[in-house]
Amino acid sequence: MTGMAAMILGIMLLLLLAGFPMMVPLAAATLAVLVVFFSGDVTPAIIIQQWIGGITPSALIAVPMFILAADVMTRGQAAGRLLDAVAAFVGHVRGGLPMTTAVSCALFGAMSGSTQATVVAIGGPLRPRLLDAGYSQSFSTALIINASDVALLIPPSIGMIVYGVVSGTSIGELFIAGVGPGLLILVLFCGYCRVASIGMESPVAAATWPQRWQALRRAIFPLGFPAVVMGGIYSGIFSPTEAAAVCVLYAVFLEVVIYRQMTLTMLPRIALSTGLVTAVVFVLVGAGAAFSWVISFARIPQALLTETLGLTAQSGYWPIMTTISVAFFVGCMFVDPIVVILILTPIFHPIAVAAGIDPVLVGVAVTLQVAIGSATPPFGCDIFTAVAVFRRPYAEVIRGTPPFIAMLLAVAVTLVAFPPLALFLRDLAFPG
Amino acid sequence: MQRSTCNDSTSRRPTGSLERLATHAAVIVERIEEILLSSSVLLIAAMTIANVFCRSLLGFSLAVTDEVAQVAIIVLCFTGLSYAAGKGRHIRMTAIYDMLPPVARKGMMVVITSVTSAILFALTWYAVDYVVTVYRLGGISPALRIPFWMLYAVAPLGLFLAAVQYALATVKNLTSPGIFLSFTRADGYETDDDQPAPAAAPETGPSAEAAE
Repeated sequence: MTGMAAMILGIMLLLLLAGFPMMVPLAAATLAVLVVFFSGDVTPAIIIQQWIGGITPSALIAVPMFILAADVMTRGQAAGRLLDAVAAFVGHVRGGLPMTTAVSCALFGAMSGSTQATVVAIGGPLRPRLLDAGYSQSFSTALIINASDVALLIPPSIGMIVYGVVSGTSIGELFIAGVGPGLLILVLFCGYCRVASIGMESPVAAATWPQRWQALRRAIFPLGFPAVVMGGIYSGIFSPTEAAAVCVLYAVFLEVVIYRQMTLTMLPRIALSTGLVTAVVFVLVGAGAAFSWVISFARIPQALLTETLGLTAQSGYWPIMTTISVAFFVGCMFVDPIVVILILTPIFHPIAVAAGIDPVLVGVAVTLQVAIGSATPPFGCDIFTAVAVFRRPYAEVIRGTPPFIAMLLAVAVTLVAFPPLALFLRDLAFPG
Repeated sequence: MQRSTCNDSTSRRPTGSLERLATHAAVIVERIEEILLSSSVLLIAAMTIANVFCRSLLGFSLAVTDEVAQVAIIVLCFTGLSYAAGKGRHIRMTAIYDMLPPVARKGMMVVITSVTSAILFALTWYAVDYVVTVYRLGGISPALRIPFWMLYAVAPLGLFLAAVQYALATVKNLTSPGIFLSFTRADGYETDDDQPAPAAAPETGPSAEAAE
């Protein structure tokens, strides 16, 4: 048992740190365990069976649909109009520009399902404006990556869909429960933006009320998206997958019929971009599912929890939630969030449920930790996205992150200490 | 995206007929992959939207839409595996790799692409094994009435093409100056996906390092 765990850990760490594509450490460790330890019991062909089984749950169909809707919106008019509306209201206040950035990154990140895509699509155009206004490189970059990560908590969150599928938790309830902590983080971020802007000139004059009214009217149709997603799921009209499909239809209708800047002939090209982003995620989902299967077949999670960590269902609320939080946080400092959710959820979810902890609360806590870990030095993958996208040095990118991490950790502790932060809205929407 | 990649690969003016043939084959395969990826996404969209209408207006769900969407997801995943390999788009943790000097990075890239290729070839083998097993069991899908083995056959195909992509990347790294994520894509950071990689042509290879 210890030999097997050591081998898995060794292979994973070696290949991961060497910079292999992330499906390789997963696939190599799975293959090695099957060939070395179980060669007589099961054929390694089971990897492919588990891979296909991992990517075909119906709920996962929502993933490419939300990504497609976001791709249509960002290439069309809807995204820009939403941004203008936010800017018309807060653009002139002290810290208004970074606040606009924070809110926009979180909103679009939620839709697009890819922090990388958000950093490029929203952070890309807003960052030069932040720099022009006098904000530092490290503050601007840290703001963009951290706000894009908050998107994991705001529906429709791809991370929550994956968590819901793996753990069997209601995705609709997870969506609703993420709203409270997500908003609290955005409020904290906006407060920090204001503090960081002390002594700075406001870059733009205040918009007049007629201008605001016009910006709001221009954004009235795009504002229908949250209504479709939240309203549809909340009222029980749509499942999350159906809400995703309606979002696609609505986005295409808006851009092609109402705004008329896009033609249907552009759709295949947009779909190709969606397909590439989706495939990169689903390759990890498939390889992660196979890996998950093999470690549970080898009974490693049980050994890890009870023998190594000494954690049981009787350990109590705080030890269990703390262990889960730390595990997901540390995992995401190294690996893509989707991989961490796929691998760690089957290990920790059962013990939390056995201890009587609400699975929705666990899901929100996990998603929050994943968001924090992704932007935490030394290895958080979003740091490298920012290094790559903005071509800035690593040291500069990480310099601006500590205040954001501190705020996020404060919310994480608050959430564990005060579960209604997440569960209040859930209980309101799903009584009983 | 597709056009620029064609230019990258043809700008080398391949001398051997074998290499020219390989380049043409690569371009054709990439085009087919793009069509499959794009149409899978649009098919999933059409199916899920149709299902919403059917369920809300007519009051029942179509079994066939769910099944078509699932098949499209399988096609998407395994086609995209190879396509993303060709584009150098698979997610990697490059914290340590990025800190290495160029010579060491080139050596690492040879190891990464060759080992990845070997593992993907092994997975291809097991995928064939799995498809053959499914063929022997002989089930058909409930709604479309298509044999399962046909639906799953895309798995070994995609794994095989991805393995070939990484093998080609190894060859490219061994035969050309510069560092390459794939046969046509140089290592380096890009902001715009539609732009060809700055150092994709071998004569500008050393600028791959300057790209950072």
